[in-house]
Amino acid sequence: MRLLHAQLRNVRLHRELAVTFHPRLTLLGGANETGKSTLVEALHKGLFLKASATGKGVEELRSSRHGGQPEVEIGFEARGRQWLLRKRFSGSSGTIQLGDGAGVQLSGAAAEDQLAALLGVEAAVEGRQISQLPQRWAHLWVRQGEAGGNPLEGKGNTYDLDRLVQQLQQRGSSAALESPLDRKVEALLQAELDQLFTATGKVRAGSPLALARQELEQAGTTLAEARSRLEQLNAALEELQRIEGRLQSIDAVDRPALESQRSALALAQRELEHAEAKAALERSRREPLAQQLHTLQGLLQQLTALAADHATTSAERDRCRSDQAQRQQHQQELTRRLEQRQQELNALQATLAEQAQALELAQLLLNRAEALQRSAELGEQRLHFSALQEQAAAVKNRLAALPPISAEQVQALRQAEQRQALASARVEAMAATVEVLAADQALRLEGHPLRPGASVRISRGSELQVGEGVRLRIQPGGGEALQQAETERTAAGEALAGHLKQLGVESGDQADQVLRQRTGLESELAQLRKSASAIPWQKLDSQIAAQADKTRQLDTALAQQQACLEQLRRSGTLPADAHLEAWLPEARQQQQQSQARWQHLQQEQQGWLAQHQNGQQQSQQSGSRLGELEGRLTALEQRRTGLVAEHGSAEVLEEQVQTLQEHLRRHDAQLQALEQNLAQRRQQAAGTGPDALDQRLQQLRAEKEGLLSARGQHEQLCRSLGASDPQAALEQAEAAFETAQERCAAIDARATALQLLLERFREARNALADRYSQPMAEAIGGYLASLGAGSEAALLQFDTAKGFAELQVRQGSESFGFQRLSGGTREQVAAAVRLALAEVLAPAYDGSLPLVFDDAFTNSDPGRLEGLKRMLERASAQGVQVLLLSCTPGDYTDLAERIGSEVSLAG
Amino acid sequence: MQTLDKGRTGAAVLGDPVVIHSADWQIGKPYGRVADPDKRARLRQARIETIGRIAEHCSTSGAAALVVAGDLFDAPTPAASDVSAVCAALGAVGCPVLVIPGNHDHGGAGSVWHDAFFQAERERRAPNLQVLLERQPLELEQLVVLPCPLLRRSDSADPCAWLGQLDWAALPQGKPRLVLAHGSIQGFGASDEASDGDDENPPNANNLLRLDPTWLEQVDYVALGDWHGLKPVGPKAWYAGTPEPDRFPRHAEYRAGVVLQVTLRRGQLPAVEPLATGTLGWHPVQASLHSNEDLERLERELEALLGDRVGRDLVLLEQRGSLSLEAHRRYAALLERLEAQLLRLKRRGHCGEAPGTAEVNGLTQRPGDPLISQVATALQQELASAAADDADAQEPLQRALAALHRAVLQAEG
Repeated sequence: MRLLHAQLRNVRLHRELAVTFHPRLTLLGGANETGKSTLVEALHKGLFLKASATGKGVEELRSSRHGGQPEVEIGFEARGRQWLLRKRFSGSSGTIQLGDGAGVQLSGAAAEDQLAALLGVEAAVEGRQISQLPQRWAHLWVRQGEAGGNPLEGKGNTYDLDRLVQQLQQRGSSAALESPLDRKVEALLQAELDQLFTATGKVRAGSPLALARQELEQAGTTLAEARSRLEQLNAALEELQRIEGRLQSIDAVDRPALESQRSALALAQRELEHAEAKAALERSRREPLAQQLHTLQGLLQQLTALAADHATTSAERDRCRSDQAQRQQHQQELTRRLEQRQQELNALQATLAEQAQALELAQLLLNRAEALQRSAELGEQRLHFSALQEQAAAVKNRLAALPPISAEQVQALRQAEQRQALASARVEAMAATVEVLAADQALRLEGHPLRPGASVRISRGSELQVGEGVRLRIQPGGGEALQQAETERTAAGEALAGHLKQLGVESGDQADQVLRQRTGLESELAQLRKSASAIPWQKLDSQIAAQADKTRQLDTALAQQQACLEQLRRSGTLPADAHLEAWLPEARQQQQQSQARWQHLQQEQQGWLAQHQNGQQQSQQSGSRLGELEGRLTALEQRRTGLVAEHGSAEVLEEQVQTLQEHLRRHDAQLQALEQNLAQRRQQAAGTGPDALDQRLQQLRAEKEGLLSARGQHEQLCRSLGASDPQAALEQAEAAFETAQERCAAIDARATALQLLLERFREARNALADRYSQPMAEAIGGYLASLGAGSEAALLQFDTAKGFAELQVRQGSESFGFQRLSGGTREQVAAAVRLALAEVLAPAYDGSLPLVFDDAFTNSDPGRLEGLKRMLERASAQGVQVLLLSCTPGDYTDLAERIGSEVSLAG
Repeated sequence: MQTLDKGRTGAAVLGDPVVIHSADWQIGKPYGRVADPDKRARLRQARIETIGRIAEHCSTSGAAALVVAGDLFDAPTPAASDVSAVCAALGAVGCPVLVIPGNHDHGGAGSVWHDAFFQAERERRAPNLQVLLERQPLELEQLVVLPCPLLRRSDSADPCAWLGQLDWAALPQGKPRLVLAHGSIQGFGASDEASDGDDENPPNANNLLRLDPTWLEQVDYVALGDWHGLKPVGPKAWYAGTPEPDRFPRHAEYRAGVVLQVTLRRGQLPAVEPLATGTLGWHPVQASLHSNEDLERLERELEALLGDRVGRDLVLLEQRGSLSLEAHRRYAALLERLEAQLLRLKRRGHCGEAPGTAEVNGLTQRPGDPLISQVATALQQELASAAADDADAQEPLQRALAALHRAVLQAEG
């Protein structure tokens, strides 16, 4: 396939661009932004993007400068014919025409298909698949910035691996590396395996293997269910058997045993009752004897008790008599002491009365003396208060005589005086003085004569007449100010006079004196008032009257007891008035002591009285008790005599008791034996009483009912489980499970065989891989040798699934991986690989294939330029049509001139 | 002692009484491993039809009784239709039919023998049938029967133990005594046991009988059930085997499909004669296949064995070896035919499929198809180096070669 010419219309900056390509090498030169890359992209889209594509791929071609839809026209050679391709990119209405100028003229889908076939690609790229576009001829179309990438990297479809392998096969050994039948067989095997497994190795849903496994699982479940059902049936049958056995056991063993026990129990019960009857009879025989013994023993006890009672009562009577004699003696002693004490108490009572009277009178006397003293004090207070009142009246009169001047007024007067003095001094200071030293003529001033030695002060213009004929006018200094000073002095004088007149004084000093006098008098008056306020003058009169009343009452009381008073004084019991006050506490103390003693004696006497009364009472009780005891003794004796007469003496009774006791002992021994027998029988009956047996029978009945019910259920269960022949179901399930297992195993085995086969196919192909990698490496090595940069040969690995990989470059004795090379060397090695790819692929495209380098050597230093040119020249000689786009076309001009052509793209 | 209702006795004959001894009818046996439901039904029906032939033997031998020593039914809860069919068939037997339950149809509660439907059907259709569920002597007109029924599926107690306590003097002295029991005999070797059961019919190892000499000398015949092959276990103790075979024989001596005609006399050894009853052919066939000739020989053998009979035979094909792809296709076709002709074709073992020499050469000698050739060569070499008896190593390689062969044929159209 060879490009012949191209024409762009309305493609980005290109309004119209026509380029003709040289069969070997076309150098497309131009500065930046002259549209080189646009040309490259437009050619690529023209070849590979569907004309009716929409979206980004088309939008990028649109021109912002020129109207109209982008159009690309490419002339090329392919399959021995010249083709003209026209694409107009106008979105979904885009058009394509493809013709060979010899009858074939296609458009639309047919044209796209034909174009794809000519280019050896699947189909034109749709707009929505735009991301796939760069992969088309990626090995042949080196865009700016992509020159340093490894062209063999990635999957084989980026560099047309299948076609490459085909070409390499033809290029290498004459023997084919794989035949179409090989591929078909492998595809068949793969297809069969793909029916079973997904690409990720999982079992494919719906595949025979998946179905077989599903069936196997289902069969396993069914088998387990069938087993379970059979086991359930067998278990139910076993349970039924157990139930049946138990039912039989209940009817045949347990219930008869219990009933037999019940009969035995009834027998034992009857025997027990018989023994009880025997024991009862024995007890009834023993009872009268015991009763008789009891009576005799009672009589004996009565006799013994009577004797004991008689002895006790006699002793008590004797003790009672002795106590009575002692008590009477004690009572007499007490009576004597009581009488004596009464006399003492009477004497003490008289003394106490006299002391009380003396104290009362003394108190009255003292109260009267106090009342008299208090009356005298009140009278003095009243006199003192009257004197204070008179003094106050005198002071008030003196105050009233003085002018009412306050301290503020005196101060105002003093200020007026000061102002008047200041005004006079100012006038005096401005006035002129006329002093007559000597005069021989009459001198008159303002008509008033002046004498020698006189001195007159003038404060206003005055006329001085000397003699008759001389008249002088004397004008003191100051002018108007003097006049004003004079006025102020007059005003100050008037104000002062006003103040003096108001206060009624003649001067400030006098006013001052008056103020001091007033202050002194007011102070004195306050002092008097204070003294008077200390006297309770309001109650004074009532108090005096009350005291008088009190004195009178006391006098009356004393008068009533005058006789007694005098007697006491005479007896010296009551001292004179002067000593009363000191005597009184002493007398009171004595009285208290007398009272205490009286009380003490009184209490003692009360105690004796109580003792006396108590003794009296006891004596009475003792007498009565003595009487009782005597009576009781008599009664006891009578009773004893009666008993002996009736039943015989105690000795007789004792003999009878012993005889009876012997009888009873014999009866008791018999009874004890009977009781023991009875207890044993009762104990035997206790464990399995009729109630316990009934209860157990009841339990058996309940158990039987439960078993019958369970039997019914299990019979039903057996019928239900047995209805569908569980044994048959199990056998069928086992057979189905085995069949499923076999089927599954067969498919597994088949899958294993297929996997094994395919693996062997891959291994076989890989074993032949050298036949692919060797010619490819040789092709690359040829270009590297042309480059002459020390890189001698390339090494490559080939894998049928992954394609070419592990590209290495040998330099001297060392090999380097592509990624380890420098940026410039990577560009050159990548170019060598691409040129080799194009060379190898070219025979599939009529011996020629275009290879585009768009500024692909920007990282290469100028020293490699010649080597690069040699590579390009070698490639062009091998059928590669080189399109070299460069912004420094001068570097390649010589090459273009020698083997190709140069096109300059102007800005 | 229980006695049989006089009104139900069959035809009495003069002289020594004859008894037909059978066992293990296993009516209702499901044959679940037979995939085809029609064939399963035919197999089941064959067992019921056998009763008619037994009835004929009873009639022709003038039997005093037909004794069935257990496992008349295959399960303790058989289908109602089987119950009716059995009762109808037994009703046609002209003598008393005495049955004890075996391990398959044990006499426990919930089993068919207690079932109201069975009892009603017995009353209605087979009044001559008596199920012996109690271990006590039954006196017939001409003999005394000592039944040892199994009352549960699995019982460690010897069902014959009661005979050890029996008061023999109380039995009628002139009548022969027949013990009717079901179970394995204690003391038999493992090889004997293994000869009766197989992978589909596990032997009954749970119910063991002890033929104690103390009572054995008191009786005249022990009619045993449980083993499906005919087998004497002493001069007067026999397993009658199943009257219709239900398994493939495991050795040449194995015989089934008969009942025993036993002539009894008190104090004498019995005269025992097998009478044929079975109709189905159960054939084990050995197929060692390594060549086309082997395959042809097998075809001839089967032809001789089966003839034109359809739906009457069952074959157990013990296959081994390996055939070429072409021969294997023929073998597959033969198997397909057999599946149709037989009531059952049971295959055991495996017949491998590996390309023959010519077929391998057809794969390896392909210069034009290097991948196929190389893969086939490699597989063939691996196969040659694998140990001849290492099937695990060989089979995947053989399968792979076979798959490759098929794919090449398919690709070549």
